[in-house]
Amino acid sequence: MQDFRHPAEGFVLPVPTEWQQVVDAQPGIPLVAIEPERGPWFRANAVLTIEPLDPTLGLDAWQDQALQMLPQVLDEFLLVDLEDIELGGQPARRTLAHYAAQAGAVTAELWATVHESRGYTLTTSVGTLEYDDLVDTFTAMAHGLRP
Amino acid sequence: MTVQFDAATGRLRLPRDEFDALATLVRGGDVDNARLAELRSAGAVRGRQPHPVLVPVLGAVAEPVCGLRLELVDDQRRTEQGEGWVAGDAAALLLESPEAGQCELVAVHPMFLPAAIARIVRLGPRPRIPAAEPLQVRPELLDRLTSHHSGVREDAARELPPGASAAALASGLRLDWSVRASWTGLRDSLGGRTLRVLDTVAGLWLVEPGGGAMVVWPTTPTAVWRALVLLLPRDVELSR
Repeated sequence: MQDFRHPAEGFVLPVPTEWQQVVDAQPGIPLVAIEPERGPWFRANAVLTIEPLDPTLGLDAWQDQALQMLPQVLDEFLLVDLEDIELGGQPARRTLAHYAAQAGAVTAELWATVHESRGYTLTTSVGTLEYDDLVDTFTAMAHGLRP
Repeated sequence: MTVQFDAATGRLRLPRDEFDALATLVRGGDVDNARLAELRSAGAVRGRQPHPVLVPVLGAVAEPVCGLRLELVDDQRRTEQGEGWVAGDAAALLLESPEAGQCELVAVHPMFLPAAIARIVRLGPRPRIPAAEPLQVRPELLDRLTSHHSGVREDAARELPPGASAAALASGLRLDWSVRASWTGLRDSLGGRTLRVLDTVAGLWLVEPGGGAMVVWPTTPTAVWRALVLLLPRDVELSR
């Protein structure tokens, strides 16, 4: 893994060395990292989003709202786990879920934390049957995020 | 009509005997004409061939690489069972329906099996069990610890070492479920993996046999999901 530092936002995120990086793909999505292409399979990836939050909205309320949206935008959404954790010493929430994508079954983990009234969400996704192969990598990425 | 088939969705509900007849048919065996008539009447069979929608899923039934057995026991000791067959790119789950004697055949791609099983066993967010210590318990004691009578559970918990684990294990059973995958392994050995989970009010537990007793480990939905993802055999574990 190699630390990626965003030139404008300043956050640091460790990313697997061989993964392709797309910087500022869209407003609010300063980094997409995706594993090398390998046939028709779902390509594991990590997407970092940053959104401004109402200062009165805490982590829990923000994430509760986000969780309500997921079944509306993801096919065959299944919520597997929710866990209150810490990322970089800050309160955070980990959400584990499953959904159906065009390339097949996907397991996604959302790692969310709040820093200076902005919500940071690292979404790590992998083909479901390969989840166990990458779970340690995803965990290391999330715990290496420094907003 | 005892056999119900929807060609648009592939949904098939039928008595177990009718399913066995269908499985016999796809394996090339002889099937009683009366049973065949039921299957034809519902549209599940045309002539002596299954409806095209059912061909992939019945192919998995006929020539499975891996078999599955599911069992769910609720706090009232009511049992539901299921059976499954997995081939390269198709899998079938045959689930008991709440209606007596009826089964439902569910087609699913193998990559969606963890989610299909997770839905059946109602896997989802659960509280974390504060204690991390496993408990070793006799099967008979485990039955009492998961009784739907709180008094029986509390009495049983007193037979365990005092601590958070005992109280959590006796917190009340939501579901006791297990899934076993079995296959023919290298050099025709029997391969398999079993996952048994106690879903209690306090959280989830993995149950493993251990020297005449059961070892019960606090666990999490994430760990159970990982186990479901790893349930099916990898290529190196198979004889072919």
